[in-house]
Amino acid sequence: MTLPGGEISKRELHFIWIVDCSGSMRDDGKIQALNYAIKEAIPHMQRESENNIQANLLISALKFSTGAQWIIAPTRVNEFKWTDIEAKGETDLGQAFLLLSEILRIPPMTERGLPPVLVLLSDGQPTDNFKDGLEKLLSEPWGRKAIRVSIAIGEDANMDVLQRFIGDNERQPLLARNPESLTKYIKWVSTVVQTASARPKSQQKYYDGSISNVDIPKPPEIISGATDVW
Amino acid sequence: MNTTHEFQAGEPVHINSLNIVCNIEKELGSGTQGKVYSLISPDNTQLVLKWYFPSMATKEQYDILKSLIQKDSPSNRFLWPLALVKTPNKEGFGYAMVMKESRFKSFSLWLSRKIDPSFKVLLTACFELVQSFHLLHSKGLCYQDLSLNNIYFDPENGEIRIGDTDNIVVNGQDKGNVIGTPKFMAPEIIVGKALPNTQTDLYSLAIILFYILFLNHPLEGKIESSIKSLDLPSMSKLYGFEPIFIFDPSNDSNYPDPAFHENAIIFWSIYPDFIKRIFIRAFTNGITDPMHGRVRETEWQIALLALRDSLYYCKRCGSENFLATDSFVLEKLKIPVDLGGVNPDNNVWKQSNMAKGVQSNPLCWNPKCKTMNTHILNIRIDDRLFVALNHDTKLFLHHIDPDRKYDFSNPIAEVSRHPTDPGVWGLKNLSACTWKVGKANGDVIEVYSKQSFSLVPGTQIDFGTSKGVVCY
Repeated sequence: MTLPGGEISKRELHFIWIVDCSGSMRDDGKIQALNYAIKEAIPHMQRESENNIQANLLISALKFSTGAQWIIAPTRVNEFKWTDIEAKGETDLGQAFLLLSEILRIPPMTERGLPPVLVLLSDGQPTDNFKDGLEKLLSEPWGRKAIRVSIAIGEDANMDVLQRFIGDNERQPLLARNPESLTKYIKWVSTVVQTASARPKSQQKYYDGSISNVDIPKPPEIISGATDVW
Repeated sequence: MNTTHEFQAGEPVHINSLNIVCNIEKELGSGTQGKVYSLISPDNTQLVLKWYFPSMATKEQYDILKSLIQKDSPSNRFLWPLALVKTPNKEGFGYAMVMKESRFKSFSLWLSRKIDPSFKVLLTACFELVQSFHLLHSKGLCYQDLSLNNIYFDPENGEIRIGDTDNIVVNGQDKGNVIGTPKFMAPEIIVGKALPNTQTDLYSLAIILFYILFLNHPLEGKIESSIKSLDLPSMSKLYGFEPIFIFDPSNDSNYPDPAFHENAIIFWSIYPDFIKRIFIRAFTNGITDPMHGRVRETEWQIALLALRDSLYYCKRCGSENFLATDSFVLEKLKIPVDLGGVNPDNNVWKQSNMAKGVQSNPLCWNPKCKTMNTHILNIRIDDRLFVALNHDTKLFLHHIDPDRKYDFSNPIAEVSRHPTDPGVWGLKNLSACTWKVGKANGDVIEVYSKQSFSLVPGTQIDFGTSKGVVCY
């Protein structure tokens, strides 16, 4: 019994990991924790994506240390694999922003999509001129409309820079003080935020004409009782 | 590892009101409100525990749950809260409910065509959804956050389950934490003029029915495909401030774009007129007049069942098609023939079977077949119902007893084959009553329980509570 027609048409949702692999990430197992956390999140992303009737999830990743490079091109969630990355070098965040601004144009972005999700993971201070890069990124319409989330790995991260990346005072960077929190935040960002982009769920009762273009639910509450702290 | 509001496998959970102690089996999932765990219970009933995140474990939510637990579930289709759970070493609270069986799947699997249900299954699911919400609303309750994400169906038979019942509140009261998902939200909520109520539930229900039957959102046509980034402001405009039905007979500015909305076009050309008219009303009057313009549950129920009863199998390829019963059904459903203000040159009207003056069955929709099917056996009951008689057709009390509408509990008749002559079809009496059957040649016979009589056009059946006649 086969009915006519085909699958419902979905919009592309680009999900981009922006990963700091500077030398300091070698300390305290930070880069290992990050590699683990991203791999852990994959099955959850796949499950979430299966239930999504609107989004066709495409995941890509870029790393930055001395300079920035794309390491994974947009890949369908069911085919996405993470290869462990190593840490070495500086923290050229500005370069990362420039790379982002280049792909957030139409083309290669599509004419019919959903706000992309950009996740910045960093543990320290940028060592280049990140402001220019950020400005370039935000001058692109897809860059402006993107949901930008940042996760600080350890307390030495520059929260001010991470907050600027988010660009919305209602939301703060997430501070992961230990590997478990990092895993939790990464899992949250890869599932709940992904679906918020595709189906915003309003927690407020009244439409207040809010300026944010996507409603993002609150991140999970992590009460720190852990013993290891970065 | 924090343990103040999360559970580990093996931890005991005391459910005092049920007088049992269960153990956590594993975490099943995590949403925006809390986490869900499967439980191992002493008598092996499959239970789950939903435990709220601290920020969601409000007094308001607690009161809502308490109230829901005191009322009974409107039907067994709802995954209803059974017991509130509090435990001394954990922050906040949760509730226990019966686990959804694995045979129930998300509709997203149908939309992505990973599963292959029949029209019959889809229409059954649609009917059960409407019926369940009718029961919910009759209790003075409203769901608030209805979307494709909280309902499930069994692709084998169309049975449904409705989850996330912890947001259900009494209609009209200003309670609750969530108000909906934009694609499914009534326009008056999106623009901030109203809070969830049973009327807004009806709107969400109409969207869901359209999604299931047409594999497209009713407001996503040309205008949708021209939006580059579908974010909150553009969603608010598309679904709230400027909603236009893709098949609005008086406005084709949002007509389906063949590049992205092919499904809508295909399915719109298959379904009979009467159901299309109801959808037109749902998304024209239903948009402009929230209080009185929406299609009511009873109207959906009648139409969906008439649609299901009109299904027959193409003699050549076996595809499910719909009997041309438009004029009959339209009259019974009291659907006005005149759509009101329709432009006869408009695409939507031109495609309509009424415009083409189609009385005979349309060609089989299967592009590889396109056969004209004639002489489809059917039974007309009391001039009330029209049921196609296929090899697998069953009749229920719903069909033959006007006082037992929607009773599909046990079949009272089924189509059968003659034991020696495979070309002869019959109708078997599965009830305890004796039928009086008037054969086409004038003879009157009695058909006892478990007996069958041959299906010959012109045969009349007295079921006791109603009369039927076999036609084709």
